[in-house]
Order: sequence, then C-alpha cells, then structure tokens
Amino acid sequence: MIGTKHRSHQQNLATLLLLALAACGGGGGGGGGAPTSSPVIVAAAFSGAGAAPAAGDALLLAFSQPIVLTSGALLTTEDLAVSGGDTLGDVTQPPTLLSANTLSVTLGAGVSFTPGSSAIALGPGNDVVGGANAAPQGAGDPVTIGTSDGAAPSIDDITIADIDDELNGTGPAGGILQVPTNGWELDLEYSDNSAVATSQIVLTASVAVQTDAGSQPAGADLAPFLLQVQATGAKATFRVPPSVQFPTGPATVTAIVADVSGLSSAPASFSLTVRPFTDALQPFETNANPSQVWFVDFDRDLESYATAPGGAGVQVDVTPGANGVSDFEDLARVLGLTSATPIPDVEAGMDSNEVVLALFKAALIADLQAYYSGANVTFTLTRPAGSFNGNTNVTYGSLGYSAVSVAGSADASGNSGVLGLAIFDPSNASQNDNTDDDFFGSRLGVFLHTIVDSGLRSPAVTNFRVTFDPFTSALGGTPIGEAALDADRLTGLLSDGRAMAIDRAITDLARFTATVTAHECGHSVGLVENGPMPSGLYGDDDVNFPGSANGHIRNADLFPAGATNVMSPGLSYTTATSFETAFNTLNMAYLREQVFYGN
Amino acid sequence: MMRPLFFVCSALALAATTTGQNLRRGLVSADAVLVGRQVGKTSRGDALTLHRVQVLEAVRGLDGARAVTVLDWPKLSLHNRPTPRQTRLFCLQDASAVAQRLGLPSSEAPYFKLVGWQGSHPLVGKDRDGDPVLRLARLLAASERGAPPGVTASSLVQFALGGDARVRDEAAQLLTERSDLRGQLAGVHWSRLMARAAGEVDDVDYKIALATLCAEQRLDGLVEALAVSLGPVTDPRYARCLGRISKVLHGEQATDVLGRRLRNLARSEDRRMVLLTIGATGTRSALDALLKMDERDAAVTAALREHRSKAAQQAADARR
Repeated sequence: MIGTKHRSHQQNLATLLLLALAACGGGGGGGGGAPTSSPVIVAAAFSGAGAAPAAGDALLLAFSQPIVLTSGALLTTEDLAVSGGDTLGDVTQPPTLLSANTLSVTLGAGVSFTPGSSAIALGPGNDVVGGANAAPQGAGDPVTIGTSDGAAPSIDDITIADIDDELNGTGPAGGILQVPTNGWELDLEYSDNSAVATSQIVLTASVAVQTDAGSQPAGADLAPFLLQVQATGAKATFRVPPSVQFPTGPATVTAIVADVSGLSSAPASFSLTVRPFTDALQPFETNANPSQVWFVDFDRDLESYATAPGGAGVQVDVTPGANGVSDFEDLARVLGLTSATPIPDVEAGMDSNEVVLALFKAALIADLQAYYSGANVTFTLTRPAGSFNGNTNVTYGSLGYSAVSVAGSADASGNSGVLGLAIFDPSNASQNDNTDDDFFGSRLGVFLHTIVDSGLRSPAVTNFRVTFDPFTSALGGTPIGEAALDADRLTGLLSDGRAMAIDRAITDLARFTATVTAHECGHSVGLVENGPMPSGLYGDDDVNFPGSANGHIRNADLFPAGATNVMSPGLSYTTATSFETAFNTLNMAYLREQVFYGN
Repeated sequence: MMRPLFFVCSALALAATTTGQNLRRGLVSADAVLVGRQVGKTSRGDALTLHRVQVLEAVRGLDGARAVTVLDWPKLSLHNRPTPRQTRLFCLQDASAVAQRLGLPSSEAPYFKLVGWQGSHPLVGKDRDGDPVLRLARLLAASERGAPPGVTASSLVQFALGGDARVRDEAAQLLTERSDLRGQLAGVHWSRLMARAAGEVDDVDYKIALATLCAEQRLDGLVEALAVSLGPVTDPRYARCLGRISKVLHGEQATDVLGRRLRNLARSEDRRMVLLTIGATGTRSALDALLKMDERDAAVTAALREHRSKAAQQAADARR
C-alpha cells in the first residue's frame, strides 16, 4: 500500500451501517436474508485500578460482528463459559454497549479470574448477547482475558491486493473492485501502542462463503479458512484459497484486530463485487496457454539514420529504406553503444558490439520480468513456434505468444513524438502482433528513434546527454569498443569512470526500453480500460487523475518525484529509467489476476 | 483499437508531465500550425474519420486555406485528436501522402494529422491576443518568417521570467535549445535568469528549466549559486539536475565544488540534499568521497543510491 492511512469514507459508511443494524435491535434471528452466524467473543480485556479484578472494575468484550443486547438483562457468569471456577462476581448492572461490536460489564462482588490466564466465551446459558439476525446462544472458542493497556488497536487501511485507496473504490473516483470467487488477497494495515495479536485477527463476510468445511454463514470468522500470507506487527495479508468460494454478487468483508492486552479495533470493512473468472474475462486464462508469452523482436529494418546539428546537440534524421542492419542496431550505433570497429573476441567469442547488445537485451528482459513480477507473463528474445499468418490479431488460444517490435521511428518523418503504439486488447482476448509495420498505415511497436533524436537534441546537462555523450561520436564521444581497455571494462576487469558510464548507458537504455515495452504490452493485455471499476481501470479519468488520457492513467500522487505509473500517457527519459517507476497498484492487481473488469 | 505512447520530455528530461511540456516541439516540428475549430466530421468506414477544421488563424504553414481536414483513426487511442466544436491550437503533420493512398477526395484537401507531442493541442481562449500559448506560437512563427533573432530572444526571456506558467518553462527550454538565440542575450538578461533560477523554490520544474538554461550558457559561479537552494528545495529531481550540471561544468571536480558547501550547513535537510547532489554527479570522485563517509548515515546511503553505479549500489546495500 502506498500512501494513505486515513480511514476511508467507505469504511466509515460501513461502520455507520453496522451501528444502524445494531440499533435496529431485534435479536430474533431470521430476517429473510442469508443465514448468519452468531457473534463470538474475539477479545477480552480486564480494566481496573489494580492488577487483580475487583468489584466495580470492568471487563471489556469484543465480538466478531455487531451485537444486539437483550434489553435490561444482566450479563453474568451464567451467560458465559469462563475457565475453571472463575466468575464475574455478583453483577448488578446490565452491560454497556461501547460500540457496534463491543460491550463493557461492570464486575460484581466476589469477582475472581486471572488476567493473562483465564479464558472466556459465550456459554450455553447466554440469553443476553445476540446478533442482528441471530438469537443469543453459546458460541465460539474461549479467548484469554488480557489486561487493558488503555489504547485499542486501529485498522488503518483495508484493501484488496494492496490497491491504493485512490484506486480501490473508496476514493473520489468511485467504483467498486471486482474480484474472482477466490484467488485474491485482502490486506490490512493496523497499529497499536503495544502489539497486535496477529493470531486473533477476525475476518467476516456479509455473505455465506463456501469452504472445505462447508458453507460458512454471513458473519462467521473466515480467517481459519484463508491463507495467511503474512502477519506482522503492522500489516497482514490473507489470500482466498481455491478451497474457499465467495458467491457471485456484492459482498462486504470486515476485519477486526485485537491487541495483546485484549482490546479490539473498530471493525473495518471493504465492499467488493464477486464475479466468476470466465476465460473471456481472465487476462491469462490457462486452458489454452500456460502463460502469456511475449516475443520481443529486434529485427525490423525499414530505415537508417544520419546525424546533423540540431537543438542543443544533434538531431537524428531518418533515411527511409532498409540497409541490412536492424533499426535498433542502427540507433545503438548512433548512440555509440556499438562501434564500426568493434574489439574482437571480448568474451566467449563475442566482439564488443555483441557483448554490449547481449548485456542490453539481458537487462531488458530482466526489467520486463520485474515490471510484470507476479503476473503470468514471460518475455523471450527467441521467436516461439507458430505464426500470425499475416493477421495482427488471432484468438488467444490459437497461438502461443504475442509479439512486439523494438525498432526505430514511428513514421518516416521522424517527428511524430510517439514512443510506442500497440493494439489495445481488452481482457487480453487475443494474441497480438505489435511487430506489424503497416497496420492501416501505422507502424506498431516501440520507437526508440523518438527518444534518441529527442535526447540528443537536448541540452548537455540533461540526463540523456550526460549518459550518452561520452559515447556518441556526433557529440565528441568515443563509442564503446573504440577506447583502449574497453574490453576490460565490458568484462568487469577494469572499473574506472568510463566503465561506470558504460554500465549506466547500457542499463538505463535497457530500463527505458523496458518501460515503454511494458507499457505497450500492457495495452495489448488489457490496460487501461476506461471507466471506474468494475467496468474499467479508471483510464481517461482526467478529473480524478489529472493528466490521464484515453486508455491511460496518470497517478502522480502515488509515485515519488521522478517516477511514474508505467501506463501514464507520457514518459520522460528520467521517469522511464527510474527504479521507482512501476505499474500502479490497480494495474498490477489486474496483471496478477486479483481483480478484473468487464461483465 | 490502438494505444499510442507519446514522449513527454525531451530537452528537460527531469521535468514532470505537465501541460505544454512539449508544446515547443509540436510548434517547431509541425508542418502547419493554426488555431482552428472542429466543425464537422465524416466517417470513412470504421477505421478512419475526417474532421473538418475551420481555420480561425493560420499561424504558419498554410496558404490561405479557410478549412483543413484532419485525419483521425477512431480505433487508435490517440492522445491528440480533434474535439467537436472546440477551439484549439493545431500542430499538424502533412498527411497528403496518406490521403492519396487512401483515395480521399482532393476537394477536402489539404489533409493533415495531429502531431503527437504532448501539450501541442491545447484549448485556446476567446481572447486570442491574450492567450499565452498562442502568443508563444506567434512568436516562433514570426521568428521563422525572419524576425530579428534579438527580438525573438528578448521576447523569450520575457516569457521565461514573467510569462504565464503554461509557457515559461517552454520559453526557457527553447532558449536552452537555441544557441543562436542565446547568443543574442545581454549580460543583464543572464543576471536575471540566474537570479531567478537560484531563487525559485516553489515550482521545481521551472527552476530546473532555468537552471538548465544557465548551465547551457556555462555561467560562472552557477553551481555555487544553485547549491544555495539545496535544502530549501527538497525535491530530489532538483538534486539530480544540479548533480548533472555540476558534472558537466566541473567534471571530477564537481565533488569538491559541492563538498565545500557541506562545511557551512547546520540543517540536516540541507546536508542531505547536498549529499544527494554529490551522488547525482555520478562521478568517480563522488563515489570515493561517499564511501569514506559515515556508514550509518542514512543521507550518505541515499546519496550512494543516487550515484547508481554498481559499486555504489553494492555499498548502499551493504549499509542497509
């Protein structure tokens, strides 16, 4: 989770609704809705002046869901299952409802229990504490009574798949997250003055949930059925495993945490909508292909380049016509990453050009995999078997890969200002050929000429120029492979200033290329559908996400200065090479198939 | 549908995405620039739309045409596309070859398509003479038509120092990219530009644009002047910019030039930003200096991260 810690409007609203439910009273059960469970005690804390309980002290009980008290009734030892011969004493006052799910009992004369070892649950004699739709009854496992430390824990954030509040339906952009029936993760962030008892986290749902132990009614604690991915002193993540099925439709998940002193947080709720993950809506369904494979193609050869004075440096003019060298390698030569006279046999029989290009491509693939970390997507430099047979799109199951070109200019003018162009494929229904150089007159792919031309025109102190001037012969640099000892620099035997510069030039250009490629591939796997969830991923919402455009979303507030969302409509060289640039959390959750759009 | 990704920042790679960021690239690279209003459109199948645009003002590159046709591909999610009934600046690329290939009627000529540079298709207000974007476009058009370079340069300084926020960065960047215009500026211009670059603390993009302009002119004492606002300005983009400027102007000596400032700093924030700037020089001397500093100092570790060399990253990792 990046950023927000505040309690969301949705959570507050949910709490109000819970309070309203509690205020409705009833206590009768039924109600015509889904079967609901009875509330159970999830935390208990003794609060008194001394170390041992005495008459007049209080016992604070927290429940798994909103409670309804029988009016005027006393909550006594007879209503509870208290360990050993422990007793609350001669209770003379009805319990006080402190919140929707907590109450306080004033202990009576003769009270006897031991905080830290005595345990308590609702007993068979309970006729006082019920739920909104459940009559009072005995329920739940005993919890140890702690000694209140005076400060209850709080749940600071609750969300799905680590999605920021701005993007998870609780922000001003609205919407509601759509999740599959299982496979998604619930994230909690909490805080306390002492420590949260992570084993006592309670998770309930507003709907009955199917588990391998049968259907759990609404309000039942689901935590035992979920996979606890992590649970630290500050946050916890629970995954809904394949053995658990949420029903289709709207649902609200509610969490309560308790601290080690026995105090509990206010409930925090998150509303979502559940929908079956059909092949048509699942971006990387595995019935046809085990994963989405992307072939990154460097072979396009449509033009060559020449430099001339331009801007604050040089411009890179486009000369139409194939020259027998890929456009990518032509641009690498312009930048001085490669040389017309490479050093032979630098490493494993490769000359200096081949070593540089191998380093670049290895870094590119590593960066792409990092961008798509956790998604069922792989990238390869080797063309997989099969062909598009001249089509730009084929059905997802008919071919094992999509393809994207890393090439030169977007058009013959070289002045388009376009870094990349790809087919937008909602929900990744097709395999897409973004190596097509004549899709109704448009070239598809990643256009490195735009950055090379623009970057070399830039002032000498810009990031691009500082990175590449040492090698760009048109700007007085010495190409890699033309300086003495460059072979040692490429193999790591020499680590001087030029070696550092070589390393940075290769890795930064690879990072930039990876960012643009990740962006274009993102379009071709369904990013960023316009509209709020569940119809889209907030693309084109320029009001709530200023700078966004059709099919894109800019999230300046969610990234540190100098970094950006991969699916922003525009990228600078610096933001694209930032290590902090990434897919926003909603885009990432979509790629990881935690949430999805469409119906 | 297709999704294009436009390059945002060319001359000033540190700048964030802002409206008008590459307006100048659109103005300069376009075959025609006009103020126009979309008055109609015709679909040619589902792949192509022809937008008829009434020419309200031909800024440059048009020979008396009162209307033009702008091609748009509705299945392509282009950023810049004509919007019905809106008056906008149009930076256009000649599309006559495409039109001919597609067999479009000559009666609807001339044919263009919008350039992709972000910010090159802004709305134009009713008060066209007061619209800063249009004023900048007119200035550049006049320059192309032969206006004296001194006049253009002086006007750009006015834009850069006192102009609307939508165009002042662009004006500064234009001067940075045009040595012929910079050569027309007098000492008093540079004094004012450098003072503003040093003193600006609110708009970091603007500060960086001015600092870059002054650096391109290699003004004496620039690094020392700009370093004064390290601390008052806490944006790491500024530290990175000044780190690069220091490296370009002072080479391996940049560490010493910046390091001298460390001796007089009391505030930890000031020190952190200076160290970050030293790291951002990416020089060998910076790496050596940082490696000799306190291993437990988080500001030093951050500076090593900013250096970005493998050795620096390894050192930073070791200090975690």
